[in-house]
Amino acid sequence: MIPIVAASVFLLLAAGVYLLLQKSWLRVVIGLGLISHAVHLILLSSGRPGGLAPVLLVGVGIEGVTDPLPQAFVLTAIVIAMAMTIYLFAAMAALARRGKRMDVEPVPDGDEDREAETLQPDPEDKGRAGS
Amino acid sequence: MSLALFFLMPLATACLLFLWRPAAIHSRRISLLASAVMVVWAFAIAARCGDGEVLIHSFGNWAPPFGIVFVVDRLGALFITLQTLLLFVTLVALRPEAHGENTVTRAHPVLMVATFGLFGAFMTGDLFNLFVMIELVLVSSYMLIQMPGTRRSLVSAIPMIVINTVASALFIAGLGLLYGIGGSLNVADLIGRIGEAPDGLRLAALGMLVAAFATKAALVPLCFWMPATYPTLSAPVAALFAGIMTKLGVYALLRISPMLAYEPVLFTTLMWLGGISALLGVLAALSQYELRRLLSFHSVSQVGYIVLALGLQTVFGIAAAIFFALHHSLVKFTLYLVADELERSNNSQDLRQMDFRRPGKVVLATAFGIAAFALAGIPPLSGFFGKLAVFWASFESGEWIGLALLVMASVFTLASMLKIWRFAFQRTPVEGDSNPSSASVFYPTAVIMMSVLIVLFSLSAGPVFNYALAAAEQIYVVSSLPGGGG
Repeated sequence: MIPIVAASVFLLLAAGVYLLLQKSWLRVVIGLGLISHAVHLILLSSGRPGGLAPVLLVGVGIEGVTDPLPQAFVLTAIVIAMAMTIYLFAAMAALARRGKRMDVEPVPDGDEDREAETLQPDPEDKGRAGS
Repeated sequence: MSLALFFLMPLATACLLFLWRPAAIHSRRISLLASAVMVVWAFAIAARCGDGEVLIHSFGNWAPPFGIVFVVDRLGALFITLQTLLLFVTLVALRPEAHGENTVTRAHPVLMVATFGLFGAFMTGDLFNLFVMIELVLVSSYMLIQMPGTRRSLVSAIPMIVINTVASALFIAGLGLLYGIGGSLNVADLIGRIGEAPDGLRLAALGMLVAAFATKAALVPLCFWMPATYPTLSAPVAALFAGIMTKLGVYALLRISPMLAYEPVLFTTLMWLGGISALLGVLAALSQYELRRLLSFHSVSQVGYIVLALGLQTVFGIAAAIFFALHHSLVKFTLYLVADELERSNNSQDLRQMDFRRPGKVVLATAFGIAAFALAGIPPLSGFFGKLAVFWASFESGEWIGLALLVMASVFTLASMLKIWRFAFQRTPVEGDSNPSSASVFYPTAVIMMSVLIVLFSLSAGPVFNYALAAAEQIYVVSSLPGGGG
């Protein structure tokens, strides 16, 4: 079991880091998702997977029973990772609606840029400005 | 029970504001009232913890280390009190008249959620909840950064999100390994359990945690997300972030420091990272002309002092780190508030375009002077005691190179404060300058409150340092925490 998990973690991490280093933000976000999956597998495998459901039955010992706690951890972590991914996609969408290219670029500094951009609000955001 | 109520209070306020969506003025009143209650409550908690009591709340009455447990000891109480104070002043400084009604009404509930996350992080007794709470704080900070909706705010937040997500991934991986070694994530429980673990695995697990926390604390090789994002925030919110967000990483490092004692190499690494951050951060700050960018590079430098003191691996060093963290939060917060006033009156963040010429100059200059002197460590103010403690701690441990790095950084700190002073307050008006002074009004309340607070903090440096020393000792007494094996 452990070698399979280790190999999957390796593959997911390698693919994730490769995507993280790409130029397009979308690939970066997908890469982050893969990296999260890799670390979730690490967390999951810390429960010493035994294969049996963590239910105490009469006449059955606790040998071979999977530790349920890492599964609860992973469930929480997956939800958080999903929320982060959705948040990042929403940020991408906001950028895209402003007609910007979705590529990694240097963070602009200085006020000139900021003032120029304030004048072009998101066209779809009008009705929701107050919300 | 009251601990859980205190913890839920900011969340309840946030829900009320989200659902009701009152006008800016009411939203301001509600949040101010809620945060004032929290300040009083936090002081009451800190006073109880001061007697050495450890407040515990076990959710669902599951006895530690099995259930989810909230623990407030001296260290947690100090940081909670700090957060409530800064939140209150942030809310005072965040005015609908000055920062726009939309900004204010949108920021209030998110600030409350961030406070909820910070309370949780400072209270929780196990590492997994620390992870959840840190994520909560991070999401609210992303929202606050991207709230203006300008291209700069959208773009500048993305590297921060990506870097912090990678750091969180490291955090989870470290948690997985730690759970595999110790079979628990309760901090007090783990300290006793990882003693006989195989060295390589333990080093890997703790190393990942340290890397994750060092990213959140913005130490030198991992700090560049911070100066990129803080200039786009609404200024009082940036002040709150500068005051408390980096301290979250510092707090987490303090919390796990008894575990790090098994792997002294991590302490040494932290010490070096701290010393290098202290020097490089302040050098980077000196070269900046954008006010808030300058100040955020300064945070990198000051966090370096804290982490160096932490890395000395002595109780006195930890106490110095705690005291310095409190001092730096208050002072950096004040400097950001002053920066806010300067920016609004000049309509620019660029020091070279600043020319402060409206009524209130004296008040603002005094407040800046107090905060800048405190930051540089001029004797009667808190920075002097903080730096003295850190220097003394490194002197006692015989870390001469670290001490030299810090002394050099101190000199440059003073130089960079003088740079702001010369540009923002001392510039002679040039012919043909537009005079923007009539465009904005000076709101002195928050700045004056913070100046008074810094002076009070400096006057009570002795008692606070004793509290910090007791907190540092408490962290190392494992049996004082629930679930502890001792």
